[in-house]
Amino acid sequence: MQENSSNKIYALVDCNAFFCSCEILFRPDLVGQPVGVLSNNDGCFVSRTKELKRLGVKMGQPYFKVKDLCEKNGVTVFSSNFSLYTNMSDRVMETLSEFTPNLEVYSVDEAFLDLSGFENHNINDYVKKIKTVVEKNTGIPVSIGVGPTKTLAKVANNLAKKSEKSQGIINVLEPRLRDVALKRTKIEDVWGIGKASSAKMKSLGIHNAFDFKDFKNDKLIQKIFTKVGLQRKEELSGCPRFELETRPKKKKQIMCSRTFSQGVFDIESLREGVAHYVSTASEKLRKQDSVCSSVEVFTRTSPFKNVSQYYGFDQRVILSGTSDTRKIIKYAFQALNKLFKAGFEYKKAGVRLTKITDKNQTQMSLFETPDSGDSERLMRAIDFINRKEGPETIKVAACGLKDKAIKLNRNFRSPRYVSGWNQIKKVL
Amino acid sequence: MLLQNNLISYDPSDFILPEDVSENLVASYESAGKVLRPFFGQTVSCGLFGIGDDHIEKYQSLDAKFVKNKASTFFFRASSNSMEPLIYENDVLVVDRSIEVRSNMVAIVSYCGEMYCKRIIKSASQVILRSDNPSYDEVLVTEDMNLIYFGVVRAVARELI
Repeated sequence: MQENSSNKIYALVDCNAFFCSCEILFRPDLVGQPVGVLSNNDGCFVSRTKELKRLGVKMGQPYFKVKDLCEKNGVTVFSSNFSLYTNMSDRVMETLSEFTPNLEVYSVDEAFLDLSGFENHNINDYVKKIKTVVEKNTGIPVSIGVGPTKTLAKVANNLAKKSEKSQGIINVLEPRLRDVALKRTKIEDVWGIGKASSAKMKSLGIHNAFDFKDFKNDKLIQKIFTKVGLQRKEELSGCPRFELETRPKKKKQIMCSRTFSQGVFDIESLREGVAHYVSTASEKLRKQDSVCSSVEVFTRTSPFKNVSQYYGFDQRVILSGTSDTRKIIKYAFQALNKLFKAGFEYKKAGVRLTKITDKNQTQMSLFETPDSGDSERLMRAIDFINRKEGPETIKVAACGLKDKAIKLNRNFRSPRYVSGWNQIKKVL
Repeated sequence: MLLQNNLISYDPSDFILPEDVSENLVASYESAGKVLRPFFGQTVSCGLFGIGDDHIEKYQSLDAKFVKNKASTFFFRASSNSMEPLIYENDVLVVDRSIEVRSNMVAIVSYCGEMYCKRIIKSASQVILRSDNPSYDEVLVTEDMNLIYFGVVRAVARELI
């Protein structure tokens, strides 16, 4: 295996504390302040400014656990304002696409750019220009990592975000610089290495990305971490194994779950919740032209509360693949009836659609009729209306009309600055 | 492509590409008394020559006129009379971040935690924020104000009814 065996150049552009940056853009009073954005239902922190990180608030930490600390230190928290974040994300991606047509939108705040063809000495100027223009035009600060593979671009990006000296850009195209970068990257911070994998790595004596790259036994890596694990290793030594994915991949499972604002004791409320989650998940299923043939339902009590604990789970197979909300709800309710136990204070529930296949490749079943043309047309009409008029304009009656228990907490939501006209920002 | 015997009046189902014509379709056409014939690309032109496609223009679009860069354009609402008679309260301001601020342009800026719409007066030594309404004082920009430029006001939209 030869280093620099290809002339590929990848850049990973990542928005810094993206959700927070979106909020602060319209709140100049919060520049340089500790700011955090909470997940759906105001549960956990999903975005933090560096000032908030410095206070010790962790990613994914439940808000109620650090509420006192936040109030004492004047932390500003926001509920998720997804219409704002997706709008700002579009602007960032749109601006990036002016610099190269070869762009993979990896997540709402990250994109891989294929900049192959640039000379090494020009690439730094070009990347600097990308950063300047994105920040000027959208107001969202970004960090950029550059490397000969996607995994190395990601390594560089992580370091660029942490290092003040780098001014947000690190380039590891030069093999000399690369080893330093790899040594500074903990194995659990390598792209695609999860918690379980990094524990196994450590038992092999691999503690950072450099150890992994230099690990001599490729066969063992492939055996434990499969082919993809070995490909990661090869990417770390500069051989591209993962190309840009410009077309979004279809999801193999679709999950929707929520924490309730108040505890729920009765099965009726849980039913309403489950019907909601199936509606959301099956809309996503239809959006990618798929059907599912299995639905899983779970509900649980609050692990943070001193009450008797229960976790209920059940699964139903749908013999002929479907994307019809009504049909999936029917099966989900069967599962819920089976798993429900009276007497517990339920705090969370969710559904997961699995065994997802292409709509056109579904297998016929002897015992179950497939979705009819009528069902498809009805679902298409519902999705169209809800997209146009807002979510849940039309919904299945099983979702209930009051939504009392399962209503989301959104106590700190910012205005709709960029969607609609009623809430645009006022200036003096 | 059109079927030859339907050149003048046709219904949408007549727009069939030759490669799409399956046997079923042929059968349904034949039973409907229509005949499918291959289309060889010649058409008969009727009517005046020259006033066709060349002269079809698009409707004017305010977006095309005032939103030159969609990714960098934001809307704000004026909420004071400080820029009268140029800008009135409740006007919608079309703000483009991609434009470089030059002297005498109207821009959205923020300082001391608040956002303002002001005329930017730049000279070699200083920057002044001026309100078009003379009853407001000029503000001399100092370093400790931490002035941030948001973007240049490209246009103003005002609803009259």
